[in-house]
Amino acid sequence: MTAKESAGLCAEIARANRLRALLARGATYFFLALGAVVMLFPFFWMFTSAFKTPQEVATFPPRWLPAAPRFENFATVFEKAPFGIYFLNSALITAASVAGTGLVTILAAFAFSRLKFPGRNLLFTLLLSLMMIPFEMLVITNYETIAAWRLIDNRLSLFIPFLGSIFYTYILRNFFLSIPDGLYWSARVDGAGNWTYLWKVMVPIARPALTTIVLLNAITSWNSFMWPMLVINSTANRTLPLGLYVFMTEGGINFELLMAASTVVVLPIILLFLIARKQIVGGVARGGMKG
Amino acid sequence: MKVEMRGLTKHFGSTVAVEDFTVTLEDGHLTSILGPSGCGKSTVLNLLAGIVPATRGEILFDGEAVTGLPPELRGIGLVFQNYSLYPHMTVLGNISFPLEIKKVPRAQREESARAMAALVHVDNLLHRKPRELSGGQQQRVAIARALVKKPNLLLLDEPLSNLDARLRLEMREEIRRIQQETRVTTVFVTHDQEEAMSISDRIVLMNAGRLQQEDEPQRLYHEPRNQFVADFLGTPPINHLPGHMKGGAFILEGGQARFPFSRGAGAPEGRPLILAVRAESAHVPDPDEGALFSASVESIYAMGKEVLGYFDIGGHSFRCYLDGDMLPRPGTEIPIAFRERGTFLFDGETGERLL
Repeated sequence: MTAKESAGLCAEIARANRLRALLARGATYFFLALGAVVMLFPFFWMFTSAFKTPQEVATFPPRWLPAAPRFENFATVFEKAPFGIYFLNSALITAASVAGTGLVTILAAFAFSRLKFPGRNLLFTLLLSLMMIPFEMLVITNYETIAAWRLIDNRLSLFIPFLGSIFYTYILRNFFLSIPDGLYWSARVDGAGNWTYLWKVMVPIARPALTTIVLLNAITSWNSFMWPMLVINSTANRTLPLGLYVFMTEGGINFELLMAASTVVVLPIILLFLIARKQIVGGVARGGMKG
Repeated sequence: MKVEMRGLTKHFGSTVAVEDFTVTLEDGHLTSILGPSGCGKSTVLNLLAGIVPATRGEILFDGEAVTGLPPELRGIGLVFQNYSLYPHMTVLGNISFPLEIKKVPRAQREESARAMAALVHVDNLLHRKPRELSGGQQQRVAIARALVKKPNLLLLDEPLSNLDARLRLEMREEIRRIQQETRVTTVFVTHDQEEAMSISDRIVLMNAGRLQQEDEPQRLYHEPRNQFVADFLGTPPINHLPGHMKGGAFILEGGQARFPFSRGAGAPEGRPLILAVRAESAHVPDPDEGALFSASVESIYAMGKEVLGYFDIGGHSFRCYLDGDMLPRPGTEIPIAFRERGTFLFDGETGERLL
């Protein structure tokens, strides 16, 4: 083979390799795009339908976009049901839950990682094993407790049962354990007791883990539906998901209004996700589990 | 501050870390606690800091018992081997942290922190985070943080062992300088005898949880109380010649060599002994001086001003320095004599010094 022929062959192989790489990448993007469309389509449909007329929602074949966006749908929704109150309730309960659960989680994680007391590891193992119990089973005992405390149809009942979270405690405890002992003793020698050390050193260092916990907790609390439905009866105490459900069953099926209401419900979470995307993805990847 | 430890003992389960340790550290001194790894020197430091509770014994700061006090009430500064700076705080934040806890007003604590940063030469790095600093810089910050609240006692736990050789030398001198400027009573834990010798006012030498000897560096070297002390200090290590005394002569183990050793006459005859000789304490005698014994040359290392020879004396290896102009060939026999200084006689069983 002459040098020229050999060079030609090399070029051909390189071309073939390039083509193969291109095809592989094309296929990857194709499937990713397909997945994205499947995931995003319901949101797209909800969002566009929120601006349609009743006729546009019902036509077949469906219309992708409304002829003229009808902002009145949102006004109608807020007229027909007190979504403003629902929104306020959801926001209050999410804030209370984030603050309360966060505090309990920090204290529990500190105790299980830094304080030495007999039976600590046994106790923690027991707590972890409780994670096996499905939420639906806890509903019964939680309901009894809340009923005994006369908190049925009280907004307090929406976050009090969830103040202690084993899962969040577990995430934070592991993070705390990764902070070297030297820092603790340095802080002690520098004059800090346990309490000061926790708030001045441990919590600031654990900010990535805490951000994850706050976000996961906020999303869970905002979206929570089954528990509020069981314990809340009156309109004034409803949260958004509950309000949406009631709106659907009571007001008859007006899809464009329902979609407008749904948009109001999910918009804050979508915004939160867009703002804190990195921390959520990173946090879930670090935790290695579902949220 | 004067620090007294009386009968200090620490057991971890059945492991003895420190046993019946009694030492007094004088005010303003820099004292090294020296010993091989696992000898309990870091435990002594942790006992002084209040990080581990004592099993028995007492610690007194200026005559007051502090044995039961937690670290935050002892008024000490501590620098860990890995510095343990707070990663989320700047250099300034780290140095002023102890004052922040004392609730010193911001302006005042920043002023103190800046002054301390200037003392350890990190005043140009105040707004960096620890991860943006080199090892030596982190060390300086850690020292500044330990000193900022004007502790009565500064504890340094192997502070140089994470640094490279050149930086280690530099920081050693820095620590000495800072200590001399502040005159703070300082305890410096190290396993490096050269480090301890060069930096300390006094050295406390430990082994297996027990105090071996406490003295000035030179006296420790020249007047070791037992064989461990003699072995631990000095490079190259001190030579050992096992044997016993008989009729005013030292009989080398193996019986091949005997030589008159009048100085050893006080030792009980027949008892196993170790004749320990520093490498600089043996020499080739002048002809009229008379040799103690003859050694066969194994190898010679010429290192500029010094020539280190490896010899065989009656089956025992022996190292000593020779005159620079003398380069005997391997295999030849040369006479060797000992100088009085740097030659010790130890009990072969207890290691106690007899001479």
